[in-house]
Formats: sequence, structure tokens, C-alpha cells
Amino acid sequence: MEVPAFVQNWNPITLAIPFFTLSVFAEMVHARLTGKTRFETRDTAASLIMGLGNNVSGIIFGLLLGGWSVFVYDNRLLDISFAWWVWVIAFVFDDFLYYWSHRFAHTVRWFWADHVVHHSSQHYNLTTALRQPWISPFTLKFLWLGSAMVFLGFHPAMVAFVGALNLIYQFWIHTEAIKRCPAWFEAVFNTPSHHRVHHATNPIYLDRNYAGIFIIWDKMFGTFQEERDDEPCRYGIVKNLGTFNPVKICLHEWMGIVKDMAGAKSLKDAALYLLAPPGWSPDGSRETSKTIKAKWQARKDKAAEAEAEAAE
Amino acid sequence: MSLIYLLAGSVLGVSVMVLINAWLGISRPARLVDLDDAARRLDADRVGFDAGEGVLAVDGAAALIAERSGDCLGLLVARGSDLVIRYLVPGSVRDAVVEEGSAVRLRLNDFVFAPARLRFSTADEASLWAGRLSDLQPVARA
Repeated sequence: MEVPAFVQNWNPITLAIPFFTLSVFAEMVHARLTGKTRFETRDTAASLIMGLGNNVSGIIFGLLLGGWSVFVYDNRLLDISFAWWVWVIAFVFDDFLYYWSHRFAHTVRWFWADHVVHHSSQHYNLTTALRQPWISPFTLKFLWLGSAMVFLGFHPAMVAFVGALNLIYQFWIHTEAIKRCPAWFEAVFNTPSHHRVHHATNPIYLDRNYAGIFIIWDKMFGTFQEERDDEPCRYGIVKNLGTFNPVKICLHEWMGIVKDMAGAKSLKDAALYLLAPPGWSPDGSRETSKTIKAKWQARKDKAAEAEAEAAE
Repeated sequence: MSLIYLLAGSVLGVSVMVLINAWLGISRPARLVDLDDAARRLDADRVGFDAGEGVLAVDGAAALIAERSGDCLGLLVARGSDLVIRYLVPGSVRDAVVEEGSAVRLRLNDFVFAPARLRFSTADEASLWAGRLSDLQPVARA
């Protein structure tokens, strides 16, 4: 099947780099002029170094991933063309798969070890978008979720292209400079407001808004949460890092998994340290998103009861 | 060769962006207003943290607050423009050493927590809290 020339000649991410750079500068100037966006020099450096390392890792692992894609495509189920409507389907289907991949990245510790890098900043600005992991292939997600479209018959070049568009879209939503978009846009698309919720550690916001481009997936699968004016977002992770060291940012959760698995009392516990949600422990002494939310909800219910009694 | 140029260009770009961030002066160090501020943050971070006695560093860059039940010691330390929180239990502390009279250098058994320096108002206060922190060092096996 002949790959269209524009797919061969254009790399959307390379083309987007000047836009990324200018946008970061603009946001910094906005922060200087309005004080509404927060930056920390060492955090910015860490995020940008993580982004650079992610690109280097892409080059290093590229051969492996490319080779795997070719192998899967050679064994595809269907022959799918490059017709314009196939592009539309590929774009939407890729975003649908992104939603699930992203949801698993938050609910399975093995995948979280990789994705936590992106959430490890306590800031929320455009450099946070570039804070990306270095060793993603270690999750082995490329073997199944990452290959699903190619296995179906979408050409690897098309899958890579729509995936790149998805990534580029997600850059601009990492900002506090934009409060809300028009209502129709907020209803359908992922926006800075929706994604701020995703990066927040407030119990009400934990494990919400996994969408890439279309927020409709969260609405369909029950994971949507609107940003509330009475609940300002606190960014980062449940146990924030106390370091700006990129190597530690990259490896800390992987090391935690290895340590926990090595000390596990049974094979089942070892497996669950890897596959259960982040924060799981055999004796329940650590906190998961679920337990944090439950505690918060119980306190809220108790306060509401007390208020009702007082009113009577 | 073009890959090397691309990498060099990226390193240069990252350096320029970081320098501009520093030059614009948009980083503001995090500071705690008072102990109530610290307690509020602990309660928001860990639902139901019941704050007992505590101490605020003189520069507002750190605070230690014991949980009333005695289960743990809440630690808040400024890291750049944010505060990082830890709940210290027996085994959490690697060492807590009094330095320059009224400061305590604290190291935790925590891979991602860089050493912190807590500045207290008096040498006695530093010594007291260094002692309490040292009580949370791992128990040496016989």
C-alpha cells in the first residue's frame, strides 16, 4: 500500500516544536505580567530535560518499536486504505484507545511507574506538558494497546501520524492561563479546565478526566469531573517528590515497585504490587485514590449531617 | 550528523528557556504563614490529619506538626515555589543533625527527598526537634 507523500515527508511533532517553544515563552511572559501562572526555574529545567530525554529515548527505542509495528502490520486482520474517511476514523479511534491506555496508566502501578513522570510536577504550565518519561517501552503496552490499530489493519504511518496529532493537541491544555473555553467546546473537547482537574490531587479530582482530545469518553465511561471554582486544583501526585533530579524523577516509582516486590511475602502480593492500583499494599496501610476519595466523602457526608442537624 | 546537531540545538533551546525563566524572576519561594497554615495544608493533603503541637521554621520554609494521636510527625518543607509533605513514622528518618546552633539538617530514608535544612528560632528548639526526629530513625538491630 502506497503511503501518501505528506505522511512520509512531514513529522507533525517536529513541525510543532517552534510553536511549543514560542508558547512556553508567551506563558512565561504572561506569568510575569499577571502572576496568574506559576513557574519555578528548577521545575522548568526538570520538565524540559525530561522532554528532551523522552525524544532521545524515542530514537533509541525507535528501531524496536518500528520493527514490532512492521511485524504486526504484516500479520494484520484487514487491509485498510488511506481514504480521507479512514483518517477520520483513525483519528477518533486513536483517541478512544488513548483514553483507555491513559486510564490504565493511572490504575495499574506498572503503567503508573512510567506515567507518574508526567504528573510529578507541582506546577501546571506548558513545560509540564513536555515532562515525559524516558523508558515507556518497559510497560510493554506497545505490544497490545499500542499495536491494536496496526493489527486491525491501519497503516503504521497513519497510526503514528494521528498519534502525533493527539500529542500536539494535548500540549496547549497544560496551562492555567486559559480559564474556560466556550461551552460547546468544553462539552466535546478536552480543555485546560478539564485537564487541570486531571493533574490535581484534591480527592474530588483524583483519577478523573483521562481524555486526550475528546472529553466525551470520560462522560461516556463515568470518569468526568468538572473543575469547581470552590475547589482550586492542587497539582502533583499524592506523595510529591522532593527533588528536581531528572534521573530520580524517571526511576522513582520503578524502584519502589522493585523494592516492594523483593520484600513481598507471597507471589500474589508481588504480582499485586505490580498490577494493583498505585498505593495498594497487602495490609491496606497505604492509600490508593479510592481510599483517599472514600475518606474525603465520609468527612463531607458527616459535615453535611451535622449541618442538617444544626438547621433542625 | 544531523542527529547530533538536532540534539545540540535541543540542549541549547532548553538552556535558553530555563535562563529566560530565571531572568524573568517568576519563581517565588514557597513560605508558610504560620502553624495554622501548615496544619490546614496537612489536613488538605491527608484528610483528617489531626494537628497537635508543632513548630514553624523561622523563615517559614518548613514546619513540623505532630499528629494528636502520636502516630506520625507531619513535615512540610519548601522546595522551590511549592511545599513537599511527608508523614514521618519510625524508620523514616536517616539522621537529624543540629548545625550552626539553631538549624537542623534532616535526611530521610526516602529516595526522592533531598536533604532539608530546618531553621529554628533557638538552639534549644533545634536540639529538641532534632531529638524528636532522631527518635524516628530505624531501630538498630542487635
